[in-house]
Amino acid sequence: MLPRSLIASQVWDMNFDSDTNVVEVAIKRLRAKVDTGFDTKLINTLRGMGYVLEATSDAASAP
Amino acid sequence: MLRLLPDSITARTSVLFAGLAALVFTVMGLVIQASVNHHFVEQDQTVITGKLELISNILQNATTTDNTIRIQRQLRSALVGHHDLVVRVQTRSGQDIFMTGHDRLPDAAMMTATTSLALRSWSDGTTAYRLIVTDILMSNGEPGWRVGIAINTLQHARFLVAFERELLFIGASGLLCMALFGWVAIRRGLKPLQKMAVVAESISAQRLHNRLATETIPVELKSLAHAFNAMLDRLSDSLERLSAFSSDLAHELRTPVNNIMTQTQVLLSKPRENDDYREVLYSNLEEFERLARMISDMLFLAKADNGLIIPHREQVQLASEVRAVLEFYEALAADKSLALQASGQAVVMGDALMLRRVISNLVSNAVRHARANSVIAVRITTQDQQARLVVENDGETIPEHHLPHLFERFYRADGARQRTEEGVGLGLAITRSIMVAHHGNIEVRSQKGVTHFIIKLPMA
Repeated sequence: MLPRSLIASQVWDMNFDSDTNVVEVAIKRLRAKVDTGFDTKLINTLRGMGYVLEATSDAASAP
Repeated sequence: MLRLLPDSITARTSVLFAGLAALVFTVMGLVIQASVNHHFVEQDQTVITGKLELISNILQNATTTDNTIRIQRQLRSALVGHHDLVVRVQTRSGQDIFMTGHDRLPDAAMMTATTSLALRSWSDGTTAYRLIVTDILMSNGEPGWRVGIAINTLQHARFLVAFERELLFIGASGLLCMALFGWVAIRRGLKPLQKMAVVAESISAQRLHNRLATETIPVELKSLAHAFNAMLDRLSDSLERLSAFSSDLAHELRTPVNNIMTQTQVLLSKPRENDDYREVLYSNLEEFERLARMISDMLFLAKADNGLIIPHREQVQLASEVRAVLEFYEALAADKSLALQASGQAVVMGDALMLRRVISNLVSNAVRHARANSVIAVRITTQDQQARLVVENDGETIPEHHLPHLFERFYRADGARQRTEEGVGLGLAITRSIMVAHHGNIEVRSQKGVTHFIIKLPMA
């Protein structure tokens, strides 16, 4: 599981809490490239905590 | 240690006044006394030498000793009206032929004769005289008479004693008057200070509106009064901001706490499915995150206020920081169809992480308020050892009266405390704190739909 702040600091070297939804937007775009068109989704959201990379079927993924 | 002067300015100055007056009076008294004495001596000299001349004239014109009676008559008429004079005339053989005055000039005083016309002082213990005793030759050149003219100085001495007593009395009362007047004058002069003390006493956190009336205060105390009033202004201003801030803070904290509480209460009011519990916990988690972020921001600001934010000093390439920040916001900007542009370069001394946070806050602001399909430009320029970084975006003009307050905590230009998903209104306050810690500054301009945030930093 990767918290959003960890993603921000690892990917963009932003080592402070940002009050924007940059990470969400970036994940959305990443998802569009990685998961769109596949039944098995790889990028999953853990609400309130972060994201996790694991194979789940479309139906089981979090809303 | 022995204290020579009392603590009170009034008493101290009065004492000094009195001391000074005593000195002046003493010197004055001595001078007056000396000059009066001198005046007496001169007067006596004039009188005595004048009479001596008269007498010697009469005696020299007398031919023989036979007409003693005529001489006596002539002398008496010459000396009429001079009761204070004591005159004694003797023949060569020591026989008195003439005497006048209240008392008889003692034989001892008549013993020595001088030729000079200078007055001698003579005293036998009971009486004191200023006198001239001289020999007068007859018209044929032979020694004829011995004449003594004297003035009893006892009178003078008595007068001088009385005069001295009078002087002393006047001096002492003058001294008292001076001390008293000084005391009164100083007390009156220091009245404004007491007024100040009264005003100062009446001031408390709830009553900071009292001010000194500077127009009635003497010039010497004006600057103090102005400084005092200015201090009160600053205090009242700070206090107002502090209380506004704490009420804002309470409000900002109450909203998320209320949300969490309400959701939890509703959830617990009846049995639920597992998914429902999870849903509310997630929602609570989001509120907690929001609270946590606000608290850490508040902590940062509190530290900055107390001068505890001490930036590292390293060379920072502003252009590369801008590039990193723009990269971070790229996705967000693309969502709103915004173009991000950067230009310029400057090296400054500072804390890279904090400066990046500044740039990030400004760009995030710009992205939030930018009109769709517009351009956000970050420009770096240098001038006079100063680096300027401008973040420009198209969007609604911020009304003029909001501009000075934008960097205050929790300040919202839209007035209504509407709760947006992003931010609690501390971003720009933090930005300014960082700039202050870097000895730089920040300003904002907003005109005709274009908003500029400008930061200035000393160059490395």
